[in-house]
Amino acid sequence: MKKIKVFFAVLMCKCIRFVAKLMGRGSSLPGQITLKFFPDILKYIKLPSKVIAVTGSNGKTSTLEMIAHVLKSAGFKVAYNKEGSNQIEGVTTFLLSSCNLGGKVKSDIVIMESDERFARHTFKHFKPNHLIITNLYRDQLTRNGHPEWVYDVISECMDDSMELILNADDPLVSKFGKGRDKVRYFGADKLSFDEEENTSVYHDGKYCPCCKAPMEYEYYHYNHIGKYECKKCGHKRNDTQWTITDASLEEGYVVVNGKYKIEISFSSIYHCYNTLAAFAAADIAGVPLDTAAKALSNYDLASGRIVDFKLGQREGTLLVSKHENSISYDQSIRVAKADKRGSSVMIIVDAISRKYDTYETSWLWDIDFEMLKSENVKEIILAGKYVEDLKTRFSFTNIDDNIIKCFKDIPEAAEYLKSGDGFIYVITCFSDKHKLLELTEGGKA
Amino acid sequence: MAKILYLYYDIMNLYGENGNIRMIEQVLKNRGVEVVCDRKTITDTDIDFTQYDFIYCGAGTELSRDACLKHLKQFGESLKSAFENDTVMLFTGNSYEMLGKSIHTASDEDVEGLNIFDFTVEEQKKNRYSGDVKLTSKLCDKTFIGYINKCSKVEGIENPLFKVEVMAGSLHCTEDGIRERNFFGTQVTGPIMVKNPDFAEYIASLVLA
Repeated sequence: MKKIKVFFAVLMCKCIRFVAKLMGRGSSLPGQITLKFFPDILKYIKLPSKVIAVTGSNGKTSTLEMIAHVLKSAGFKVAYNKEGSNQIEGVTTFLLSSCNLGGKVKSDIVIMESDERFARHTFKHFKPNHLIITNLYRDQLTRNGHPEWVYDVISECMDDSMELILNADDPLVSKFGKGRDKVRYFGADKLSFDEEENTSVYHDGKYCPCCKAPMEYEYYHYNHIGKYECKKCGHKRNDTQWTITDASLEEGYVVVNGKYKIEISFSSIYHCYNTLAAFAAADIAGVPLDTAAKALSNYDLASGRIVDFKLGQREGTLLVSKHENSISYDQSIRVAKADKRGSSVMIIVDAISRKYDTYETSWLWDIDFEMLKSENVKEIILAGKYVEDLKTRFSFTNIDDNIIKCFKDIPEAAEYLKSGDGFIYVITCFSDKHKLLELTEGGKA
Repeated sequence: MAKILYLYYDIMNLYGENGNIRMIEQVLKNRGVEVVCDRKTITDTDIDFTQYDFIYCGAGTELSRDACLKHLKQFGESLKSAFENDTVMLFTGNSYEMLGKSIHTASDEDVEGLNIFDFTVEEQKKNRYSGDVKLTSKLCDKTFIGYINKCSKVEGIENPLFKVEVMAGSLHCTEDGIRERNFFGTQVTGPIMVKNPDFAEYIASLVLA
């Protein structure tokens, strides 16, 4: 019976996938329909001996893409949700599509990203051997509640068989490892650009996520990511198996475990962490570390987190951030303000989400826009439907009004930019980025 | 001069709540009033609520709210006298839940509240009730906008602050918050005074009255 069930489920999913592709439909529909008929089908799939999953607030897609790249360069046959559909439907689609009709996944290894809220559903019928958790931030609170809520939701998918691979520098993520045998950590040692104070608008690591006593930090890599210790309950940054021992954002490299130098194409500490997580995954999969470092070196993300463009005579870079996610904005702002050439910085908020209906703008108040008061920032352009909200937010920074220009209409803002000179940074969400990029040369929307 | 208190500024700050305190300071300053803002948190041992003209507290995670309630209990009498002396207070998100009779938490514990009001709070961890709202209030004929993000139900409020006219997401409620004397409590999370400048003006008028 089981065999017949699996046969039909796989066949069904593959057929719908084929038709859906022709119709240009997304990758979650085939899994969605198949699950209606076979809700527990994932229980019967024969997975390869290694299954690695990635979850967390930020960096899932980039990390997964890099893991896939490293494994493929090392000669592995890899099945993964490359289209980024990371809820149970998308995972079902890619797993069944990778199966033969007997329900066996035809790859050496399966890697996947899982939406943090849906991990408990996706991993109900099968468990990955290793679960990498990148970070937990304030992200889309309209859907996610808050980071501690997401923590509780993720922990529902865990069992003792699973090894957790945790970001040691994130106090909430490393709480998953408390009292657990099967856990290893990745993180960064003290780096040259670390800070002794947290200067962000808020500090989600200020109190211990376990007992709420004040946390002590030795240093911060950014926001609440750093080296911390709670003197009351003893929750502290654990020793790491995979460690960034040196890094330079200016020269664009990280050194892992003191000897593997990886050149990074995008100078953001964010990207350093994603690279490190990918390195850890490659190690777990059995890729020789030299090979992993080489494959990761100068790897350009296909998922387009940074996009270079030309607007009239001006050159620019769009830093893809996430609306409703203040840390991703803080990161992009840091990149823009660090550029000594001096630039115009454009912020676009036009549609808050393309997936669900919301007009929520609280997150604008969690972003450290004050950082843009810098001699490297010559001008600030605010644009999109939410320009009034941005304008109000900026009126509470101490940035000189005269350098701020506001446009509701994005093409009008683009025209204005064409008339100026110097480099342009655009900071916006992937849901809004095409609205500017389609007006530029070279910027793939 | 107006003396205001931003209570638990660094822990009850779920989502952009700092906007509320920035806004009220701005509105008061625009009216020519000198503003002194104190910030107090769970490590402070000297809070006298009666010396303030306005007290604000924002939303937090459930664990943070539990920790704050534990801390706040030692100042319960002081907060109660401030309330009885008509001090203007705005508690947003789950922070106003601390002032009721009891909270039944999602981990099945019963926590006693400050007993300033008679309501009870019931939390659960299965569903998050979250989404945008449009609200009306007896305060004025304006429509208010906001966003609620909670996992609790509050029972036993006689004078709700808002009537919920439109809601999105996973919310199910008809009324929201509480208004007693000059105390304003609402589940609305985030910078409600920024999104509703008239509300900030209204609060400012009360503070200066």
